[in-house]
Amino acid sequence: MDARDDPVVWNAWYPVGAPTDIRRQHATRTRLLGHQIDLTIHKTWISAACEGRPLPVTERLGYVWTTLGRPDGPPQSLLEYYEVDRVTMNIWSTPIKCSGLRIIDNVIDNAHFPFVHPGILGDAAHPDIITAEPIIDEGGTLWLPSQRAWLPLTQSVAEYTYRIADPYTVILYIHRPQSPGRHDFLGIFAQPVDEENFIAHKMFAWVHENWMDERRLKSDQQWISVQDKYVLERHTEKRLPLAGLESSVSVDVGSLAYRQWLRDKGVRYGAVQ
Amino acid sequence: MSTYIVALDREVLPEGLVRGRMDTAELVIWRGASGSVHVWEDRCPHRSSRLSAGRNMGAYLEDPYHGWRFAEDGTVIHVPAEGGKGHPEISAHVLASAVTGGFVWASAGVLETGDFAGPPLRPLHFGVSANRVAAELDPTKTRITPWGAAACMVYGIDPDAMAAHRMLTALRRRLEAAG
Ligand code: FES
Ligand SMILES: [Fe+2]
Repeated sequence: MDARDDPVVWNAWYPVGAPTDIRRQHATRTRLLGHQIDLTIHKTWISAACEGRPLPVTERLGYVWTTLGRPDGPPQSLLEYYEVDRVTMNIWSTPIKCSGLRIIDNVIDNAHFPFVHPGILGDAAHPDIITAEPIIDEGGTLWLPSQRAWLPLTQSVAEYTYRIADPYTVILYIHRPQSPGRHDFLGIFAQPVDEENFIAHKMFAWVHENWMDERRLKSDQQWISVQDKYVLERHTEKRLPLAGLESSVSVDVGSLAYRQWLRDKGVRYGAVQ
Repeated sequence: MSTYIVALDREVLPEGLVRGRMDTAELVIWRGASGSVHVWEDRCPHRSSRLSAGRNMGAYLEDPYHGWRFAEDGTVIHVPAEGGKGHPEISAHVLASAVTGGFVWASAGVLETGDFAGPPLRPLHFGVSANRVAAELDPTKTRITPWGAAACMVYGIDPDAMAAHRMLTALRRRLEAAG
């Protein structure tokens, strides 16, 4: 379908790369929603255009964001990202062969940890997960609070909250048991190239700890994403079915809430029609 | 709904998973602990992942994504994230299938294997449509399984395997060159 026929998707903001990557690789050409986007590198900023039409750009959360449509506000923000005691990084921007909606459905689903990330985010001896009721706030953002799963590293149950402000993005709040009320953050922002391809941009913003080695953290996070890429590229149906076609069980409440939320917004681009 | 050969019986090893195709459907073919061969769509009913990327554990097939276990009859017997609960109401997409004459046959509808037995040749993939290949071959000695609209797999029987294989590869070269 033509993305223009899906107003929610068309009028949203999308990242098109990290400024450092765009400068270093001179990556001045990319694709978004089936259209070519031309980037121009200026001294202090990066501009974007589509077929000669200048597009709005904003730098935020480590990425350059643009839109083909008319968004009703700036790109989503995360105030905590700018706290002084945080380590922030762009983990990677990598192409994945399926609908970008699939990666959001993957991120909010802890049931895959023991099988896709064994020994890292879960293990087969502790496959149980605990979910909680999804919430939609006044701004229309979908929250999946307090999703619990076993974390091998700490040998205890970890708690996650997921925030979905746009169809193609999700921010993970990893609860910090040692400092209640604070979180470590990961962002997964999909840049839909077309309905069955996207570029996964991954944001990292954790509270600084003395043990941290940035290079190691980055490669660990990349390795986790490689494991997800493997399963994401093995869906027989590359798009996300919003109803029917796929069977769900009780622990899929988050996934079902996301699909319902997409249906209520009328999202069809990247979904099974 | 036609019946097609989707694999050689001897290729489907215990503990192995074989990928196949039939028309537009992608298939996973596996032999369970009971010895029976199963032909399913290569699509988990949960989140559409390829079951062929999972594991054949004999008594069940395990999905690669969330580790759901599927019994030989296709039903879900174990969902790890739910404490191992079974879901008899959820099943893999099971096709009707049978093994005869050294071949595994499958159908999305009613299964009709017919008479076709003899020493099986190594199957050969053609990059042209099933119809074009069918026009050139002896239907008593070959069976053709479409792989989408522009390709097919040819299964044959012949006591002189060497000569038959040479004939088929020559035909393939000619048809693929003709485009
Ligand atoms: S996709 Fe098969 S178990 Fe979830
Ligand atoms: Fe994952």
